[in-house]
Amino acid sequence: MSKKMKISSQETKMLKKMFANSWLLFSSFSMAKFQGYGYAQAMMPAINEFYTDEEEKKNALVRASNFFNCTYETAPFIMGLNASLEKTRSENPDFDVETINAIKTSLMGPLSGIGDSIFWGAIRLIAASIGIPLAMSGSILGPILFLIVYHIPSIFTRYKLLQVGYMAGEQFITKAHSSGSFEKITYYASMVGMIMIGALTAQFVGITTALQVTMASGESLILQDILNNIMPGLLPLGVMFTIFALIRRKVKITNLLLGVIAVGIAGAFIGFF
Amino acid sequence: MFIQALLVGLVYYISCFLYLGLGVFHFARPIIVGPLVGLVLGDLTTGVIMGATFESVFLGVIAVGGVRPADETIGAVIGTAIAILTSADTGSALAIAVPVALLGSSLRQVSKAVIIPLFIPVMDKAAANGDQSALKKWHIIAAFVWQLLPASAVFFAIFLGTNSIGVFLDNTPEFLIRGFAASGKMLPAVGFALLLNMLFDKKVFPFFFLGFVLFSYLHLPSIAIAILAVVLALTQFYQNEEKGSKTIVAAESPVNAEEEFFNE
Repeated sequence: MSKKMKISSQETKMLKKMFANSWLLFSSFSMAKFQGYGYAQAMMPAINEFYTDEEEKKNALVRASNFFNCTYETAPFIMGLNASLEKTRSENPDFDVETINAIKTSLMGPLSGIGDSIFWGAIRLIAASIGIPLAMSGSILGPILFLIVYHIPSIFTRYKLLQVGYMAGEQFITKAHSSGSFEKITYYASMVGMIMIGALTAQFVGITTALQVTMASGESLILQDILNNIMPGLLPLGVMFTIFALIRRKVKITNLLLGVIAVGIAGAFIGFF
Repeated sequence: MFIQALLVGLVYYISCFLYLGLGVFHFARPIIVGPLVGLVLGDLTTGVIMGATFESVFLGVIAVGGVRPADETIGAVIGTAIAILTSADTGSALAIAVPVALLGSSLRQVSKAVIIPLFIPVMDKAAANGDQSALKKWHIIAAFVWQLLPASAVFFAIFLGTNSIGVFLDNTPEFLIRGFAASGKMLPAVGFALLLNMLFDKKVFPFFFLGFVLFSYLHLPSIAIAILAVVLALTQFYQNEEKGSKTIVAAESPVNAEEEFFNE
């Protein structure tokens, strides 16, 4: 892995075609195959590039059409890696195709972990936290920035990871696995994600109480003022962690969402909100 | 109402097609479909604002293992349309959008668990025959079929439901509207709690409070908080790597593997 592999212009062309097809990863998403056929679309240029034997081509296509499910942004790494293995296989019939299947199934999980924490956890939250306040004020720049901030790193990563995967070969992945790189990347991405979730909670969970108690002396005690003096955003924090505790107890999301509406209405009825 | 319903249905169909079919991934998020619904119904500003509102509510509601607890797109499309067509306030629009999003997710479930699996025998046969163009053709057709069911549900909901929803909202007691507004302010917490659960690790959990304080006490803009977060993660990363490299002397240390992963 330390020595860089040369990519021929023919192979660059193939990678470009694979990238173009990889946009279609989700098109026929189903609960049975997930992105299986989408993955096959991306692999077609590689299959056509390396195999001349029709029987081998068919086998490779069937192989590529199996179950596949991975984060959109990190999936191209597996496609690139397996393209290089398909090349090995086409040159060496003794190469065990099980390796190709094994790479696919064993990498989907860890790469989804990385992809979800970086893209869904961190970048999407950053994009949303830039876009939402702008859009809340009625500016069309909000949604536009949201798309740009998310998709530029997303598209770049997908293109780059396809190449990296193709050049890396299987050696790389065993090394990255044993050195714990996957866990590390996930860890630092989660750190950014955590900070963003904290900030977003303070920003968007804007619940306040309308409760007032009139004292014997005639002055009224406003509960919200007291809460603000203890700590701004105390009520949102309480709501957030109540829900979090319920999620930890495996309460269904549907029930949580409906429960929040019920609590809102009940709270308004008794004058708390 | 027929034309409006048709346009709103089309917005749903096209944005979901772009997202699932062509991989323009966030095209079906509320923050995007809200303005599009606003555009076709002639009130862009309300669309943009409603889109942002629904985005903050559904920000954390994401697919886990291919199962999405709610269809935020259908919720946002119908919620925004109702808000524009009946001049409902944010709280009421939310109270409509959330149940719709929950019901809508089962329509998507029908697409991915019943309708699209019908394509599988044909597609598997195409793969076995090495027929790449057939495999591609059915793959694309599936993308067109995928959104048909929920999109027609959007059409019928707007076409048949708008007037009765409008009448209902006009006669709603005041506390109910206040309750809807309150739940609208609490609902984002569900999404954030889901995200927290996804990223939860007790070593990074304290950073939640850092982010919280940066906004609640200091009112820093989001971009500033995002930059601080990235700076913090990077410095921690380099510090830990330095400590790590002292203990590992081998030429092919994991540190190298890590760096090359980023440099490639």
